[in-house]
Amino acid sequence: MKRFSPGFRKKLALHFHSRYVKLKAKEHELNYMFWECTSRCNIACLHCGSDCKIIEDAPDMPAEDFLNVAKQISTRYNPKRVMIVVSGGEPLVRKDLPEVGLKLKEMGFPWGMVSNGYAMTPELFRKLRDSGLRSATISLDGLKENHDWLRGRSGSFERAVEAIKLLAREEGMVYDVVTCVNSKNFNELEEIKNFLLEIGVNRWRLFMIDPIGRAAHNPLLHISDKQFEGMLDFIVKNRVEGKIRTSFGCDGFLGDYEAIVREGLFFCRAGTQVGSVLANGDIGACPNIHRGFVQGNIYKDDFLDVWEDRFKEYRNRKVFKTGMCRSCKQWKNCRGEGMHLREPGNSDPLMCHFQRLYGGS
Amino acid sequence: MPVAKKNLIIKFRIKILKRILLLLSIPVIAYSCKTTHNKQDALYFPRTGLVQKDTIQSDTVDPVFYNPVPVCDYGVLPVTPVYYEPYPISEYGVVPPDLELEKED
Repeated sequence: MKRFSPGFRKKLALHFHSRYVKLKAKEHELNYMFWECTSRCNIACLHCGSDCKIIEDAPDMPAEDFLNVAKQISTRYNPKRVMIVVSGGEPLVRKDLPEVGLKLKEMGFPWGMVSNGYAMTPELFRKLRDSGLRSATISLDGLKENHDWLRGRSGSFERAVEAIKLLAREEGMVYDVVTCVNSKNFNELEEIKNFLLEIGVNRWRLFMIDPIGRAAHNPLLHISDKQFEGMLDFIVKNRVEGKIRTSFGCDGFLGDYEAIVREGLFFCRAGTQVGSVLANGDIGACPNIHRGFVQGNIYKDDFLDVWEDRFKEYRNRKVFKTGMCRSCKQWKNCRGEGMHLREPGNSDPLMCHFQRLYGGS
Repeated sequence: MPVAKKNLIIKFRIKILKRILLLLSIPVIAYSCKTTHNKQDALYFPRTGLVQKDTIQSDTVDPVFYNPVPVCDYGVLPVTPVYYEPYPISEYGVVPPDLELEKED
């Protein structure tokens, strides 16, 4: 069985980093704000964390309601330092997105968007850019067959690729492509990499599908422990090669892979620096976190009061030092996994990345 | 202790820890600058005629314990580098436009 035995430099870094994380929690300066602008979607991904549905007539939150929250935020924080991330559902199904974006831009917020790219057209992209879109992330979960399988809609691969090409051609656009690694696309990672390089992509994020939402009960969506390690090795290889800036998602403490498959050491910033307004007005952190950890609702509470006074379990993770985490030697480095892998009332996280890599060590 | 003073102390301690983490990562930055030279030939794709944007900071297997601003491709490590507070990059999020923020700082 493998053992995690960091060298002196890494040990030192982990020690100082754990102190840094505690202080950041005390400071809890908001600088990354999700807006789940709709729960509607135009495709039906097998792994959807929001479990959203193709419902064309479901009502969206009125844009004014979120803009009021943004206004509140700008009274306490410098808007230039708060990134607004529009997510969903699929944000492009909202027809008023360019107008909302323009208002955010006028308030001084940089804003970005997470999209499947299906509804993106050159005209819409130009409109969004004119409205201040600074950053975007498009999902590409494999080559045609696997992408369309996972996304549940034929033709979604071509649409996603066209959207990525638009981003890649745009001067000054900050963007990246994300890929959910699963048992079907694991063996084509190298091909996906070459494809991305050919269409001009320079940043690629890989992550695993978490056992939440629709993905919880589909074994095809998950990779084995060995494949997980293989994926991390693949990332390391790409980073050494230097052709495409590949990184692993924000998930979990990774032992020896820590700080070499992504920048920085593991730090789940949910509720510490990351906040959100969800589709029904709920106040939370990352949109894929269990709704049992919702802290308030913009229709009942003042967002800034909630941000300041609640989020206790987000900022002091000791409440999660239960079950398998209670006696874990890596507690200081991990603090009970990412918040999206916790469920209220469940003493263990839904998955432990460290355990997958090191077994019971 | 007044809240404002307490906050100032927290911010100060955060700054110190941030710099310690940066210091621990420094060999990476130096190595990173060196390796960029070796990558230029990989950026052109004859089949499509596309040239990949030459803006990527190279990565290495050496650990990066903190997110520094990109160091210039052909330069040396600045003696007193200006670092900004990086935005978190979340799985479901987007990569923030860090280059412009860096200028503002």
